[in-house]
Amino acid sequence: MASEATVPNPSEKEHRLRETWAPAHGFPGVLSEVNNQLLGMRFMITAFVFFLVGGILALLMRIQLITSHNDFLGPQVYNEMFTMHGSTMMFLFAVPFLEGLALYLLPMMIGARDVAFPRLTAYGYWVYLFGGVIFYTSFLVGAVPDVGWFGYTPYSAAQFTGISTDFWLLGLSLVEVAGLTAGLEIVVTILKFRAPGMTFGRMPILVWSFLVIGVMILVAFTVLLTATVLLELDRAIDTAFFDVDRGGNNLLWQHLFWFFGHPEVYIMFLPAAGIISMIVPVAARRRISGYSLIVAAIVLTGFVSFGLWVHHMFAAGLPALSMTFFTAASLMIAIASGIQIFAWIATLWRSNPVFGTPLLYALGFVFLFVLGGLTGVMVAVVPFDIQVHDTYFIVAHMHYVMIGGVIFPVFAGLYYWFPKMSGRLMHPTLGKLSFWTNFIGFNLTFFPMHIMGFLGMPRRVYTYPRSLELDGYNLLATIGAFMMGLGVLFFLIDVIHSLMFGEEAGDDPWNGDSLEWSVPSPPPIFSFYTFPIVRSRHPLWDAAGETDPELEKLQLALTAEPQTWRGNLVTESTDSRPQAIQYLPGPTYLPLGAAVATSIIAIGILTRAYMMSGFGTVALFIILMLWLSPKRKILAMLRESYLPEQAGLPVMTTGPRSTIWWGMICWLAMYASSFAALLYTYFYLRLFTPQWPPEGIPRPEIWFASLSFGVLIVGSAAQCFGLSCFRKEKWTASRIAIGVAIISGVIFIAMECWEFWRVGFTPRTDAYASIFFVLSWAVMGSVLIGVILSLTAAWRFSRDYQEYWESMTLHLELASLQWGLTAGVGVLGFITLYLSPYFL
Amino acid sequence: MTSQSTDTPEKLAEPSPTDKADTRLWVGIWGGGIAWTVHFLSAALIAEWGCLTRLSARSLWGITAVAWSIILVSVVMALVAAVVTWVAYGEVLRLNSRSDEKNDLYDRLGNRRFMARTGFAASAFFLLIIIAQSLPILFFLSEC
Repeated sequence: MASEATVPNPSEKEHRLRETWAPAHGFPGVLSEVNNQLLGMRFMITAFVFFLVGGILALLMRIQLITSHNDFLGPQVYNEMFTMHGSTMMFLFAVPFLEGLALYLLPMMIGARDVAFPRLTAYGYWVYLFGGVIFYTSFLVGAVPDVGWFGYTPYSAAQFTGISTDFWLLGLSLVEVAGLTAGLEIVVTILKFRAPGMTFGRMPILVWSFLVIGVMILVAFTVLLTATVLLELDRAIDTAFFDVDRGGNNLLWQHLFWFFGHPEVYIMFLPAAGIISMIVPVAARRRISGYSLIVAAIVLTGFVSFGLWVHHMFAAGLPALSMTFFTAASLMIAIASGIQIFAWIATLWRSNPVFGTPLLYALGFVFLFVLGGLTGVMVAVVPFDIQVHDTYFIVAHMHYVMIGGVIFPVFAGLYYWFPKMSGRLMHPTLGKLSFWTNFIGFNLTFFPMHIMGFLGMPRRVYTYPRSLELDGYNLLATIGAFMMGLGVLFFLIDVIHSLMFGEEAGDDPWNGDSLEWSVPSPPPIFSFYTFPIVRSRHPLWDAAGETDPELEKLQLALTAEPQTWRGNLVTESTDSRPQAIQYLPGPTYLPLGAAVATSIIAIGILTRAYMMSGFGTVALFIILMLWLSPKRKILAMLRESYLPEQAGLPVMTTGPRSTIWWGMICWLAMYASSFAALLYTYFYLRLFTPQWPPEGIPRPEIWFASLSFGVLIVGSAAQCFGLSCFRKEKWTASRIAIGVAIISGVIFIAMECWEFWRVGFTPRTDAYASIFFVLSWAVMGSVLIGVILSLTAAWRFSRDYQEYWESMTLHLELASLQWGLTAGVGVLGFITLYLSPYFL
Repeated sequence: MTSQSTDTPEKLAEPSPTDKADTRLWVGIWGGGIAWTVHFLSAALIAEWGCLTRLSARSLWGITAVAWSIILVSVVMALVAAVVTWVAYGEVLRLNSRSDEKNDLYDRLGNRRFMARTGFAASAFFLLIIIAQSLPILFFLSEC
C-alpha cells in the first residue's frame, strides 16, 4: 500500500485519470479509439448521413409519383429506389442511430464511465460502416438491389436476380452483426455497470427500454441473420431452402423475415417512447405518472412483439385459425402502447410545461403515433387487411408509426441532449420552424395516402393511371415530402449555427432529473470523476437523503481511480450493490482488424472468390485469439493493484460478477435463437413435404448418430467436471477432464464428417438435405467453439493457472457454458434429425 | 505495493443466497410472459400443423382434435397465468403491509415493491392476452 507521502493530491489524480482516458491522437486515434462517447457519436452521425441519403431517395420517388404516367424514373430504377430507401431507413439508420444514442448516453445515465466491452463497440461500428459501404457500392457497379427491403423469395432467388441481391444480403448481414454486438453491449452494461443504489426500481425509463430492446435484438436479429445465411446458401451453393421444385418453401422466408421484422419496429419504437418518457416529466416539471405500469408495458411489448409477425402475411393464404391468434395479439399490444400514452398525458395534465422544441416534437409524436396506432388496429383485422394489403393505406400506416413513432422522438431526443453533447444550446426559433415544417409536411405527405389506398393505389408501383384520379393526392404528398426535407434542413442549419454561435448550455439547461445532467456539458470522456450514489428515481430532483458510510468510503477510495488504467465499478444486477472493479481496454486496432476480416469474408462471398473468404476467416480467427486472450502484462498489473485493498473490491472476478460471464450468456442466447430458427425451418419444411425424407433418401440411421452424439455429451460433461475440479483445486483431475472434452469434441467432428460422406446426398439434393446439413453444421459449430475454448484453457494450464486462477476459472466457466449449450443443441439436433423422421 | 484478491475460488464461485420471497417476485415478473409464450407457441404450432394433417379430421362431439388441443392448452396456460397473477398480487399486498421496515440505501423494500407491482401488472396483462388469443378458437370448433 502506498505511503501517505506518495499519495497524489486530488488534482494530480484527476490529471492522471484524464491522461488514462484521453483518446489517441490524430488519424491513428480515429482508427483505434474504443470509448463509448466517441463511438456513440460516430454511430449517430453515420446513421444520420444514411438518413439523409434515404430521404433523398424518398424525394426522388415522390418526384416520379407527382403525376400519373411520369417518366422521371423508370420501373427498374424505381424498384431500386424503394428497396434502398426502405433498407437504408430500417437497417442503416433507425436501429444504428438508437444504438449510437444508447452507447453515448447509457453510461452517463447509469453512472458509469464506459460500456462493458469497449472493443466490441468499436468492432460493431466498423462492421456497420463497412456493411453500409457495401450496400451503396452496388450503385457504383450498377447492381443496385431491387427486391424490396424485405427480399421476398422467389424473386430474391438466384434464378431471378443477380449480384444485386447478394449486395443486399451481405451488406445487411454485416449490419446485423453490428446490431447484435450493440445489443449484447447494452444488456450487459445495464445489468452490471449501474451505479450503487440504482436498483431496478430506480432505473430511468429509457434505460428500461434499452434493456428490453437489447434482449429483443439478441433474439430477433439472430433469426434474420440465420435467414439471410440460408438465402445466401441457396444463391451461392444451390441449397434448396426456398426452391419449391426441390421441397423448399417461399413462405418460410416470410415467416423468418417477419419474425425479425415485427420486433424490429418495436426495437425502434420502445427507445423512442423511452426518449419521450425522459422529456415529458422534465418539461412538465413533475415525476412521471405510472412508472411501474410503464415498465410493465415495456416488458409486455418486448414479449408480445414476437407474437405478431403473421399480420404481415394475412394475404399469404395461411389457415384462418392461425391468423386469428396474430389478430388477437396485434390488437392487444395496443394496450401496452396506450398505457404509455396515458401515462404521458397524466404527467402533463394540470402541469405547467415548458414548451421547448423537445416537448413540441414529443407532442407531435403522441399525435402521430396515436393515428398510426389506430390504423394499426384496423389492419390487425384480417378482412380489412386483405382489402388494404399492398395499397397506400399500408404505406400511410407504416410511416405514421415509423416517422411519427420513431423519427419525431429521435428529433426530440436530439434537441434535448444536444446541449449535453455539445455544451451549446440550440436556437429555439429554428427548432420550432423545424418542428412545424416537419409536422405539417409529414401530415401533408402521408395523410392523403390513407385515402389513396382506399381508392386503389397499389404500393411499390412506379406510376399509376390517370383514370384513378389520384394526381391531386400524389401532388399533395410530394409537396409534403419536400416540406419535410425543408424541416430536416432547418434542423441541420440549427445544429451548425448552434455549434458555431450557440449560447453555452451549462450542465443542466432543462433542469433534468437523471444522472447525465450532473456531469459537465460537454461531458469529460470518462463521464464521472467518481461514481455517483443513487438514492432515488430522480437523483437530481430529490434531496441527498441518508448516507451509507461504507458506500461513501468506497466512493472516496474510487475517486479518480483507477488512475493508470481504464476501469469501472461492477454492481449486482438487481440491487446494484458494488461487486468488483472491471478493467476496460484502451485504444487498439484489433476491432478494426476484426471488422476488416469480417468484411473480407463477406466480399469474398459476394464476388464468389471463396479463397478470399477463407483468408478472411483465418485472419478473423487469429485476431479473435489475440483479442480474447488475457494479456499477462495486464493480469500482472491487476494482481499488483492496490485497489482491492483500498476499495475492498476485487479487480479480477469470476461467475456472474464478471461482465464477461454475462457476455457469454448473451452469446449463448444468440446461438440458441439461431438454432431455434433452424429447428423451425426443419419442421416447417417437413410440414409441407408429403414424404419426409423425400423419395430416394433413406431415413437416417440412428445407431451411428447415437454414438457420435453420445461422445458429444461425454465431452460436455467432462468440461463441466473439469471446471468443478479446478474450483476444488484438484488440478490433475481438471486437466484430464479438459483433455477428455477436447478429444470428445474432435471425435464428434470427425464422426460427423464421416456421416456426411456416408449419407449419400449433398446439401444441394433437396430441401431435406439442405436443412440436414445446415443443422448438423450448427451443432458442429458449437462443438468447435467448445473445443477451442477447452484447448486454450489446456494451454493456459501449462503456464500460469495458479498465479491467475481467477482468470483461469473464468476461462473454464466460459468453456463450460459453451459446452452446456453444445449439449443442448446436440440433444435437440439428434432428436430432430435422427428420431423425428420415425415418429412424425 | 502488492495486493491480492483474498477470496478462494470456491468463495467467489458461491452464488448469493435467495429466499422464497425473492422467488415469488421473479415468478410474478417472468411467469406471465412464460405462460403466454408457451400458450402462443403451442396454439400456433397446433393450428399450423393440425390444420394441415389428419388431426383436423378427427373430432369429438363435433369439435375437431385441433380445437380440443388448443382449448386444453389455453385453459392450462390461462390457469398458470392466473396463478402467477395471484402470486404476484399476494406479493404486492405482503410488501405493502411492511410499512414498519426501515429502508436502506439500496431500497430493498422499495425495489421489491416495484418488482411486485410490475410483476402483477405484467402477469395480469399476459392473462388478458392469453384469454384474448384463446377466444378465436370458439369460432373454429368444427373446422380450421
